[in-house]
Amino acid sequence: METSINIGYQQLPELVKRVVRLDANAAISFNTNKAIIIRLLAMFLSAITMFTLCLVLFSGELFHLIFLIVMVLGAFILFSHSNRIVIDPHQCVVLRQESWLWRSAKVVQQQDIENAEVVMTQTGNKDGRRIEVLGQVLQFQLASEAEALMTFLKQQFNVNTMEQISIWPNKTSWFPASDKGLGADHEAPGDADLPLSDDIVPLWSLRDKLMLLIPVLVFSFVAAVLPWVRSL
Amino acid sequence: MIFIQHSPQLASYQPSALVKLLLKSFGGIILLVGLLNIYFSGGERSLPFWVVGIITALGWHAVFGSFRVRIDLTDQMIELKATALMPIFNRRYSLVGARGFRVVSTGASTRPYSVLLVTREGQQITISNAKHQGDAVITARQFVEFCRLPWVDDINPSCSTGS
Repeated sequence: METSINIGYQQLPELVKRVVRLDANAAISFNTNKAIIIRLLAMFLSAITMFTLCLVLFSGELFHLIFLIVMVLGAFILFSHSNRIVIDPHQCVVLRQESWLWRSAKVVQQQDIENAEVVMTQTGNKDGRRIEVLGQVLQFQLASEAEALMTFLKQQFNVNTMEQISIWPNKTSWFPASDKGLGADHEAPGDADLPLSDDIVPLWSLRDKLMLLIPVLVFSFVAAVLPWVRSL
Repeated sequence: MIFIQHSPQLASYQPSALVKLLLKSFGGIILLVGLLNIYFSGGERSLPFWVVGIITALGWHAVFGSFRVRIDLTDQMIELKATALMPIFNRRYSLVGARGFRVVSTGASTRPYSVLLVTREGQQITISNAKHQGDAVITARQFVEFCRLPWVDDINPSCSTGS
């Protein structure tokens, strides 16, 4: 099952793969709107933090320092937030998980896959589509992208796919245009015959190396600010 | 880095206890020096703040940093995890249907030989890097024997005789 999900996922359009992530357990997930807003807020706080840091270094007022510390803490906490919709084929559930400060995720909302509805609707744009899962909405500019994701969900997870376009506002069941698509593709060639990927996943990616720099930044910051705090 | 088999179902690939002890004790001294520099920073003869930051962070990583590869055959998972009192990465890959392990030369300057796990989909995941080809082959052989997975046809002919 995991293999067919992996293969099906690889065949999705790039834009869909950017939004919907596949983990090692073959569960797929995507960020909720709340998570995206909180991430944007965290970036906004980071920008304010940079500005305040400049103020602290050049003006050196206590108020700015306290404000800076609050902003750094706020940005740190907001960046640690995660809120995702996960479709888990092993437990056969669709769930919304939330976590703070990189702790283990807490299930906020859960529904069995058989009872869960994935509804595709049209946006204001004629070709645009929205896909709603567990009350969370994914927007796509192209109908083909939304349909590729719907096909993937239907064929790999057997989710109850609906559409609210043809006889709006009523919902009707939605089926892939061609059942030959993904389903036939992943059964025809043996998995062992798939060519090796040219890209080797490195042990330490760039992101991991940047993570190693966090203590450098934190300790440098403390070493820079501490003498100034003492002089107050 | 050594391969330790904890049980027939569980094994890990991690630094040896001696290496850990030496690294943590030496790192502890560097961390202490860094923290003292932070405490006494701002004086006339103190080091620049970014140098203090680098020294302290080096000590921090030496003391608290850890990397290990864990294989759990019960779950059929291989987990690569690095932490330094904060998560750096934690990647899990399924061993179900994995094609096996291989050793390749990546051309890197310091550790040019890599042990790779080849997943069923053909994805190649680096498990370990080694300075010498022989070390990489030994490591790969340990993974192969424990996971009971085959060698994938290798670019280095000498490695393909390992199974």
